[in-house]
Amino acid sequence: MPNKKIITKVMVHPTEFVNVQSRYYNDSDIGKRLSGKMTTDIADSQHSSFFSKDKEVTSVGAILNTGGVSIIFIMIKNKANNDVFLSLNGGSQYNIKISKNDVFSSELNGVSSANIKVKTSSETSNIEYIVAQ
Amino acid sequence: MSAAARRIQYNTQVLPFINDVALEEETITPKLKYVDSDIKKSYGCSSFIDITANQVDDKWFRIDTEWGTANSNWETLTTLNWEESGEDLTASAERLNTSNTALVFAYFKNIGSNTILLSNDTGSNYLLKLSPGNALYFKASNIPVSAIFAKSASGTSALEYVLGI
Repeated sequence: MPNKKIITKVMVHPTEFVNVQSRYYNDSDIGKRLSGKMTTDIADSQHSSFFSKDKEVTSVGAILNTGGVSIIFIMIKNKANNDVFLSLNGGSQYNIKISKNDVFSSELNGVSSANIKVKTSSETSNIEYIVAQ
Repeated sequence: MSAAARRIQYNTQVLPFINDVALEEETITPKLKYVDSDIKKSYGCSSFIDITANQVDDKWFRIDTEWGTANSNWETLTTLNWEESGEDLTASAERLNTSNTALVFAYFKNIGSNTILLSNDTGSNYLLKLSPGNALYFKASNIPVSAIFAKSASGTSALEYVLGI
């Protein structure tokens, strides 16, 4: 059993503006907070590029984990002002946006590390990441 | 579906850790956890995003609750319970919403017992994975609501979701 693990907790609270009180309350359709928690076992032996605390992102798509391995967990935190866009299919589509100070994390379905790329739309940004097998 | 305004608050915590190494004399699984010795920190965020007040249709979310059916006879004085059901999934791909409006925010939780696979590219690839009990969200870029597909990796499962425009 691997000793390296990652605990992820996610909470989402859909809300709706109520004019009378001039504030947001529980969304009237959904009606509650939503959350999940997961522990992911990752391999004890990881490629040296499986994490970074200071990775500059430019408008050119860049591979994060250069180990050529199958990835089962990803976490990206955008530390800078410009949005970062994530592709999981080799750069064909960058359809996940990570705004300033946001974290995106997910289990992945064995995605090749070569297919996981990030870029900005024009300027530079800076991220921390875990891309683990 | 309609409202004056809608906002979704969200937060994430990510804690990489490593189990303690069992001492020779220990006969039980160690319960202590230490922050991963390589990464040496945890991560998190807390923020919100404004979504459109009037969503595309009543399939913009699926957070179902229903009365328990096994104990709905009031004469027996049994307690009635709300049960979650969600969107039932099989191993066949399912498009969650047919709207071609641009997706802004997506949330998913596996409330079933089998792993769920998600596609955000119209079913071409199922690259996102949800183990039972796990949840994820993301802000979308340049994809329509209809690009989201889901299926069970095996057998059947159930999905809770929000697809906000």
